[in-house]
Amino acid sequence: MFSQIFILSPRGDTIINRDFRSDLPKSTPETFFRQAKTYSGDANPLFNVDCIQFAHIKRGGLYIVGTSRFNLQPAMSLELLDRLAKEIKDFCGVINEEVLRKNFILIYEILDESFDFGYPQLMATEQIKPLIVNEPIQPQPDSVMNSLRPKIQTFNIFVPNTMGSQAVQRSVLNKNQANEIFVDIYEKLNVLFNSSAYVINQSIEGCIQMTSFLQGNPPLKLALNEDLQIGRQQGQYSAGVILDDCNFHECVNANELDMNKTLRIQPPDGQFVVMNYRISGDYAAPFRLFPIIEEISSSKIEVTIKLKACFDAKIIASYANIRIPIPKQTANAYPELVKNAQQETAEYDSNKKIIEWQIKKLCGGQERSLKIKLTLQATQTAHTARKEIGPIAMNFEIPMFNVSRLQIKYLRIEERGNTTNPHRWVRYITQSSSYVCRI
Amino acid sequence: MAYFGNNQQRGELQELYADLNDLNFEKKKEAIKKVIAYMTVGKDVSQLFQSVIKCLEFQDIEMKKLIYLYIVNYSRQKPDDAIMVIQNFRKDVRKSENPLVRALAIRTFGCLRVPKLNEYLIEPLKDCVQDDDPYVRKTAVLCVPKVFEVSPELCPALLEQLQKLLEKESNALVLANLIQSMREIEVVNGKQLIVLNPKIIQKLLLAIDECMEWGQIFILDYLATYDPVDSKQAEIIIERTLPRLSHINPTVTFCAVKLILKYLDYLNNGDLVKNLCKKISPSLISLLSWNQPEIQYTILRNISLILQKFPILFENEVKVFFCSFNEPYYIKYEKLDIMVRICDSKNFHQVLNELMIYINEADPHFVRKTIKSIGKIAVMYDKALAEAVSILVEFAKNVQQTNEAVQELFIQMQIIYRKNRNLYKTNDSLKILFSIIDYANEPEAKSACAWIIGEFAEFIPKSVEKMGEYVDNFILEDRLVQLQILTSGVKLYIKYPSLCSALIQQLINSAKDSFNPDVRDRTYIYWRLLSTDPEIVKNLICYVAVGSSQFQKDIRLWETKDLITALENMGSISNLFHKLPNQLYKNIKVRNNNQQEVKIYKADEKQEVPSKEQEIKKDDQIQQQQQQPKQDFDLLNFEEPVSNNNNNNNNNNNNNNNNNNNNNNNNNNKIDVYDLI
Repeated sequence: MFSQIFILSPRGDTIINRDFRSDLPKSTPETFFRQAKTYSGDANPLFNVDCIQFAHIKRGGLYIVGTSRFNLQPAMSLELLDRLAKEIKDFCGVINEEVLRKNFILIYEILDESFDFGYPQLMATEQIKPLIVNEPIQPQPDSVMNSLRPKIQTFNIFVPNTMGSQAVQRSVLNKNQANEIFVDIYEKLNVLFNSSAYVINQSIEGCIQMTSFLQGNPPLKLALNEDLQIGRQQGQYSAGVILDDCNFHECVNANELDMNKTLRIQPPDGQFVVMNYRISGDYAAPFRLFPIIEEISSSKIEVTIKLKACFDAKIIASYANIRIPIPKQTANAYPELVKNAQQETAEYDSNKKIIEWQIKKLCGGQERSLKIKLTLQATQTAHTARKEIGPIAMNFEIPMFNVSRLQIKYLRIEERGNTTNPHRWVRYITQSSSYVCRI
Repeated sequence: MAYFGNNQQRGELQELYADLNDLNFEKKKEAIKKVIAYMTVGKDVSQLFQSVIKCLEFQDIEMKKLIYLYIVNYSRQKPDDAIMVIQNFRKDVRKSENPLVRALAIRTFGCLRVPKLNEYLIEPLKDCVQDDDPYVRKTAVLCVPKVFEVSPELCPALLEQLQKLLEKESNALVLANLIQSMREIEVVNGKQLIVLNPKIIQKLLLAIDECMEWGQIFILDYLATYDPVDSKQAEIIIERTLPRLSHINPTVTFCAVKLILKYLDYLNNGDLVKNLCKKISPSLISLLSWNQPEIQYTILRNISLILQKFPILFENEVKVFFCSFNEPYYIKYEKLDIMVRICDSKNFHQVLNELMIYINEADPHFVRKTIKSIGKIAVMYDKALAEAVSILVEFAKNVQQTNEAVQELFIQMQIIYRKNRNLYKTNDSLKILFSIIDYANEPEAKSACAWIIGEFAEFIPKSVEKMGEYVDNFILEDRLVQLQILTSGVKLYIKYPSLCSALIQQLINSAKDSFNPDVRDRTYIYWRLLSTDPEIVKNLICYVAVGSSQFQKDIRLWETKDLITALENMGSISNLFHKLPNQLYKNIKVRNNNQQEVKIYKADEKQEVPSKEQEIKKDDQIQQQQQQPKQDFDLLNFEEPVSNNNNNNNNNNNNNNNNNNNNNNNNNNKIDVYDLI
């Protein structure tokens, strides 16, 4: 199991260093940092130097690293580090260098309860809460350090980078907090169209996530659609919502799911994923793209792209960005928006040979279009160049909308001891994961 | 500078020393926090050992935690001072009412790792293993391997105690820790410690439901090493494991998959096996679309292993492995690899259609791998040949400049031509390839081009001129290319003796003094042969391969024996590197397998029950009959071609020579030997 767990600052300074087994040299953090710096971008999550296994994740610009000399399960090491980061976040509210430096004793406590001899022990926030004696120290919100520090953003396509929620950035140890619970339903869409807007492949990866600040952690009952069905038989068509597969958090009792579509939940503190699900069946894609390519002459191509939002007019997509790769041999490209276009921009990046079309807000039912005029270099003809156009990739987010029609019918708090009725917030978010149109 | 630095540090230490000895409790506590802070950044504060441990007399638990942290860090530097702490520990363990304090003491105690302190530890540890509080018990149980590692001679009594505990323990958390610590001692000790009987298994199965996810991993992982006694027992264990397939922790799910896959071998009910496979497959696919790419990657690396034994799992699921545009490349590469593995005579059309799209990707390395995959499919499935070649030809038509992908194109086309010599008749691939032949610049690609020119000289309009160019630059070429130019040059000479006589002279002249013995020897062999009887040379060199038996559909990643070991270590880091654990870690011993055969689970349309057919061993036998056991054409070698890697070439030459052997010409043996050097 883990020999050491250490947390390094972006500059390689040790913030936390806990040695469980004393079987590795003290200089291991330096070895790690030196190796991690040899990668041009982000370092591989797993690597091996002199028979030492390093597993690391990056959170808030910090390296959270586990080392080992054993034949570990890599999926487990990464999951453990991720859980540790979640715990720290639950206790401290946020993860950054300043907070960790201020709370290092608390972190040592958390580490000691979470791991013994490198083996994971108690790794759920509410389980170790009674064993922790330190209080988190919140950083000064307007300290000079905070404003000076550059915003470190790690590029991760899977992290939901969505609108701010008041549910985050709060410590579970904060006693004077509102009695409330947040339920998010995220859906990530994978769609692949061919040039005639016919769907080749599509799937949804969804999850129901909760952030609980309920006092006393009362049991919950969460009801989903009545026409929900789990497991897909081949060749079966049903009007209901069919999940191909799903999995549940430990605190969820899914015994009644088949019968009356309810989940019984014993919510832990802080953030947790109630359920992940996967849908591979047909669904109505929220956006359709219609690309048209015309060869004007042997050196000129005109590309017209129509975008149609195929959802209810009351729903507004918060953004939609479209990237169109164009031929390498392009001499010049002019993206032209429709006249009077509002909240739209289209730019040509001549280095990457990409047209970026950004739409700020898009109501359901609306149509937008973009015309791109390409001039090619003399070395290539339009006929061969047109093959290099595309595939068109789209990024978007649609709040309060989900494609699968999976719904929360109700969320009931089973034992309501005190008189105040806790606030229950539900939101739906649909995002693109890989939304691509081939030409 | 050094003077000031030292002085400053001493100043700090003295300040801390004063604070630690202060009467004010809060001040002491602050001082200890500072000490820990220094310790974390790596400053040596061991001189304060005495003053710090004096503070242990307070019963404040926060203070205790801090001091223990300090002691663990410095006990090995100051073993004599550490002895003074022992009394405190024993008091905490024996007298404290608070289980937290007891557990904290025993946990810290175990981390001291000073041999001479351990004898004081044994008695309190024994008490703790039998403590009433499960929190203390779970900590104590994990403490045993810590002590065992440092002083195993003290432990026999403790180990017995653990074995007893295994039978009567009822708390799931303790049980999970118990299994894990006993396993670790087994590894260090080399003796079996855990004796499973039906009762204990029953208990472990119950514990899986109760304990936390990490405990579940420990227990499932352990059960996966167990061999069930009969089909009934395997069935029971599988049944209890099934709910874990829908766990939110990917490792739990994967451990459950591992366990079930292993136990399938023990089931004698074919329908049940089939049903189980249907249940496992969606869980694995969910793991594949996990929201962390790292997890996806680890699963993908294991899938190629699972596929070797359980092709049934991903039948009809090839779409799952299609790449999304936003995935990291390391995932795309793995998916390509797997797509080739599960491609069969039914779904090749679907796979090729998808691969055709990837050819237009921006990253040349990815395109290269795609072309390699297409080449492999073309060689493996005759039905797919025409379609695959047309994709490659279409790609060749659009080549504008030289890049990695073009190099791979030549290499793959060469392999395809070798297998299907008549291909040149059916389409204009030769002409198109020849028009871009100047783009070949990697040794392997160049040697492929040289082969193509020699082999199809009659059908390429300017083959002699091109070969002339190659011969002119002979000295500058890589060894691999030189060898191929030699063979192709001789082929050309045989085909056009009058046109090429000057060319062959020039070739032999520049090659006969080569510093490379391979090149030199081959030159002399050809020279002698040509000067004795060109007719023999013609039979030899220009022999047209008939049939394609050399191209085995071998997509095995592992040898049978290693497959079993690898499956046992499914999900571990060694499998991530596609290595055996003992190859990666010197200290790990691998259980010897006498098992010779592996059941392959395949879906068969005629028989409803998945038949356990096609033992890999049979393949081996066939190979041996052909007397070329080590000549598997490495169809799935996705490694980057190394410029000096003559593996491929040697194999190809072997194929050539074997054909020659079939010709039953005595002289051939000579060349056989020389080619192989």
